Amino acid sequence: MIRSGAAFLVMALALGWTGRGHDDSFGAQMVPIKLTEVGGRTLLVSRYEVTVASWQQCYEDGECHHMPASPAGSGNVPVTGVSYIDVGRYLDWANRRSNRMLRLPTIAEWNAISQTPANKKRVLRFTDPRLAWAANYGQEKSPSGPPRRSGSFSTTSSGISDLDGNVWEWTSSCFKPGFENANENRCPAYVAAGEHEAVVSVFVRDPASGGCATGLPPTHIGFRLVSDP
Amino acid sequence: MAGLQSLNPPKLSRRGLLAATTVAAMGAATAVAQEAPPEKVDISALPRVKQAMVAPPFLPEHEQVATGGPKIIEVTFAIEEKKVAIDKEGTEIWALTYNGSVPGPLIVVHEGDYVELTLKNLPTNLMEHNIDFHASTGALGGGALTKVLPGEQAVLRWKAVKSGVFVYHCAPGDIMIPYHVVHGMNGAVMVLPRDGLKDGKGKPLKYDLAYYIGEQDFYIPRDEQGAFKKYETAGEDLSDSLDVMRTLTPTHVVFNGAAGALTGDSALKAKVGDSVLFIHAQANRDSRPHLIGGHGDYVWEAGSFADVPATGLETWFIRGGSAGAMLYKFRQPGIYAYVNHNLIEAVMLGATAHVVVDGEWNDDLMMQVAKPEPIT
Repeated sequence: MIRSGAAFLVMALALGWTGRGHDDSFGAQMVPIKLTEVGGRTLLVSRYEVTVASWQQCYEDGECHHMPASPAGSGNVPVTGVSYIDVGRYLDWANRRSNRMLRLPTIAEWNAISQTPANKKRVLRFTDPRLAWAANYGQEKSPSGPPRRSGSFSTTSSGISDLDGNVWEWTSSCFKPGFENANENRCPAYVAAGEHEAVVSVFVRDPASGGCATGLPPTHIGFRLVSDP
Repeated sequence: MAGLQSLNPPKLSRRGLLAATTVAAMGAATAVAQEAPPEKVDISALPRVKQAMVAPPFLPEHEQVATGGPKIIEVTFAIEEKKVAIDKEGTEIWALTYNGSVPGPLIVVHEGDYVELTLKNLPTNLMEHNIDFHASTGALGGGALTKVLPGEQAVLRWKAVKSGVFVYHCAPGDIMIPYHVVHGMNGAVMVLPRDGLKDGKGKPLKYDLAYYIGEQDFYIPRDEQGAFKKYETAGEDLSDSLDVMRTLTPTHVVFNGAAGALTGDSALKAKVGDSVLFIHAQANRDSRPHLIGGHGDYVWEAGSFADVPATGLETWFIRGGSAGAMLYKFRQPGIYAYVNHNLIEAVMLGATAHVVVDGEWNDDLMMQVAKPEPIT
């Protein structure tokens, strides 16, 4: 059932949606979820991450300026290699097309959707507050390999798939909590959610394979749409 | 030094004779300085010790200061051609390995000891292999005497006459030399002075822990779409690989055979107060190790333990085709990154290891005076 929802979306996009009015293919694969952890609000959440096929449409419409390289026949695979800035263009396009208020989840919403808040599983590597910068080291378990077809990883009881996959998802939360709302300066890096929380610069499309900053990078970065009803 | 000389009589006697010949030459211009004839050593009388190889980044059990006289250290390498993943995206190479690891295992002996290697080319392999020890003397480092075909083995014994850390690698001839080396077929030997490591003033230097970091440059061919190619068998990538190698631009520069092999759960570990010896080998290409958040207290940059170590370095240089050693005492807990400080190679190509250090934070060495806040 879950797969058929995605298949419908892919088919609709592959055929080139040209109808008048609003494209509801975005809403077709969204599930209402009551988030008790985040004030008991109900949020519409996409079953899957945004796919290469959907991004291709945005690109062909001239609104997404960057088309990441992806293997042939990978339409039903999450789009990866897209920066926070790239994603902003996609959201503008998708909202105009659907007449919805599609957006990225906050990290608090993402944790509530995933039902396994990553931070609750953590055993801090260092407890001295002076070592807070290193405390989360070694918690990362980045599943390796290329992105897989949507639905290849597990599905929550609410029907949301691939939250535990090897594609991290951009959130709308600045790495410094509240900075994006409270400060006139633009947030330079956002939290990407996945097997661990990663902080990624808004310009980065492919997180590097190593580095001097502590912690391990995500394997790939894509994103998932949510919407307030 | 007295201890070293007494345990290494051939070197001493040779020097003595050379000096005498030079004096004689002053009186007779036609006299030519000659090396002493090799001393007859009764090999059969030397004690034999088997050294069990361990996979990098660890070292086999060994003494820092040798007890007793020279020994024959018996070592066995099984050459295995095997497909390995070299990054988190799952890029593959048919690695050519000594004992199944990239780099091959570290051999540790003392100056004056003999290394006796049994080199086995497993019958499942497809290629000829051999080994060239930079620490050895003669026959192209042993390469000419160790050529083994699949299903064959050879035994080579060589005397460790130079102390230091040295690269070994496969060198089967022609284009196969660089091909084998950039497919992982290299490693290192550590030849310790019999009386252990010293600073420049004769003070003994001990290490509590030692790690062996082999840096490997890989040159993986891409398909028309730009994706890294995969191959069914070892050697199938030969012509494609040579094209990438010829650019001198590696696609991967990694420690311990894969990007991320020495990070996360596999990060190196130490405690505040530990003196840690880092051995860094690069068989093919220059590197410049740097410990982010620390220093090189003592650095044998070119690898020779007969040299006075440099002190207090920020970054040091490993020439392609050599190994070097660095000793550092950790003074502060947390995470350190040990990188090749060409940061493109460290961050984008994979040359990063992490060290997780436990212990008490020292406010005197560093403290955050004010947390980040809006500019006032």
